[in-house]
Amino acid sequence: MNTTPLHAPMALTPEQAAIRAGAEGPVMARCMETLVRYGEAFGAPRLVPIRSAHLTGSFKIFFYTAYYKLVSELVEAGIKVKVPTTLNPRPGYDYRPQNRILFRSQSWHEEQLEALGVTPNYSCVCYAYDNIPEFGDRLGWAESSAIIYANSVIGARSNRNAIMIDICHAVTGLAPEFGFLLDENRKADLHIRLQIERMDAAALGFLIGKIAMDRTPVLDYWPFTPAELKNMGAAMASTGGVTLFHVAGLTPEAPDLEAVTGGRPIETHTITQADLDALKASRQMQKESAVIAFGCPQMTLEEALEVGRHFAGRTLKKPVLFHLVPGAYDAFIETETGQACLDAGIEVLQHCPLAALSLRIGIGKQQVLTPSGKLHYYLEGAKYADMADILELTGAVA
Amino acid sequence: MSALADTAAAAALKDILPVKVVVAGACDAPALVTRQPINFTAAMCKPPNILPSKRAEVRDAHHELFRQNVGGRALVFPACIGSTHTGLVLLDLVSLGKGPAALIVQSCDSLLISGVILSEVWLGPVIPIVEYPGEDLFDRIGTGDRLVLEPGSDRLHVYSGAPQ
Repeated sequence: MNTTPLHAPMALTPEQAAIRAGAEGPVMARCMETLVRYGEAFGAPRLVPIRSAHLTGSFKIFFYTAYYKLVSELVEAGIKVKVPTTLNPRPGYDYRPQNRILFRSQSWHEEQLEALGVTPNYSCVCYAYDNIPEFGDRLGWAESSAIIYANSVIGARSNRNAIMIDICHAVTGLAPEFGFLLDENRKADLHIRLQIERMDAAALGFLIGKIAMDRTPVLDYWPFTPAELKNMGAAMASTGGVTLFHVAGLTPEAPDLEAVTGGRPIETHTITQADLDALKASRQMQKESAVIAFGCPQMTLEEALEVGRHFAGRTLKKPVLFHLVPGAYDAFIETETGQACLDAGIEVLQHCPLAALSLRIGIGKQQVLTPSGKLHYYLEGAKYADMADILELTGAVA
Repeated sequence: MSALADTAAAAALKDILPVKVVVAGACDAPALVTRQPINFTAAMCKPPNILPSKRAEVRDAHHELFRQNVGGRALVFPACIGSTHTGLVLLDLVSLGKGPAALIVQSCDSLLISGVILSEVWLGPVIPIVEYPGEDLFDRIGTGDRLVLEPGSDRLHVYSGAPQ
């Protein structure tokens, strides 16, 4: 193993150095070594305490093995998380015969993660229900859509951490101090001007991600709702590697353009209504789609009520799936709107649409239509449409 | 000059790039070049990747490398984008020896490095990650060129390869 640091070595406290040397066993030593190597690659001077962790790796993807092996090493060593830690959604497969072959180890993997002391919230929207950070909190999160929301909308601070690095954060309660944990890396590099009449936040995020790549954009003011910010950020973190975005006059670190650019001139791009509209699948493709999927990231209660009210009393022309945060499910179906959605034939689900629809079990290779920029990016054969189109297509508007 | 470079000297040395080594290691492999950033999760968590021979095949239909196999190639690209499952993908590919032979990027981010460091710290195998921020990266290396990085070196040797 090559342990020669490429930057200056990180300054560890005596306690951290002891853990790295094996004082809490060989597995904890590797967790600490991982964070040190990770931090030193980016010149981090030290490890800092975090308020919470969020884990992305909730699916047992059967043809991947190494991550699951490392998790079971932690469980066998009796290691527990040191900070509140939440968990991404379930993949949503049931255990019909064909699925048993593919996903037989899903329950085993969930037991392993829960044995680490993780909160079994099973949601990517952890920041709205079970793991709510405050402005300025340092976090050791994975799940790109959650990281970008916590950074941008709440003003907490997390790098875009990978699977398993998230667990190393959780069990040490520490993160290397670099990147988006530091003030100087949270300014905007890119100004996105908006020439838009009808906002489609997910499409906007999809386009911004491609332009920004790994830079930090600041958008002109727009009165985005929390659900729009969620769906826009998730798309930016799919088509790009955006970790933080600002909206001038709306998000907490961007009182105005001047404050968030530090007064420097920055590159400018304009996104127009025509750009947004161009992302939508043709009418013909939309008509040919067999299933409409909402909720990537999962829908919050407010979002499900806002979308759901359009379907009350209607007859659906196509199957519609709502993927909800599990913590919002009971509250939703107890509302009049929730009941009306069920009566209209909407399937209200609590898992990850991307995982569940990847194999289209039960519906074959049929096309999925979605107003989620993230699902459109990741799911093979998923076409994009905005809310107005989808409501018309499904018969939700007369 | 090492044996590695001696052999390579038989082919035409085209260029030597000064690089910043982010993860140390050695490589001698044909280049696969793309100007598009790569989303490893979108690329390699699809049903076709279930097949061992297609584990490292790009299955992201939004990407120009769609259906190309990155296994054993020195992958030259601007940056990594997208999901935090990137670590899962690279950890497996690197630790099983089925992944790219090296990653040559303009900008190395926290996700790209993670799977490779996890493989090295927990399981042993490692591939080099080097940065070359210049926009001329894509003019100086072409797909099919042979890329040689010797252990401990921060000079990436580019040998003309058969165009592909």
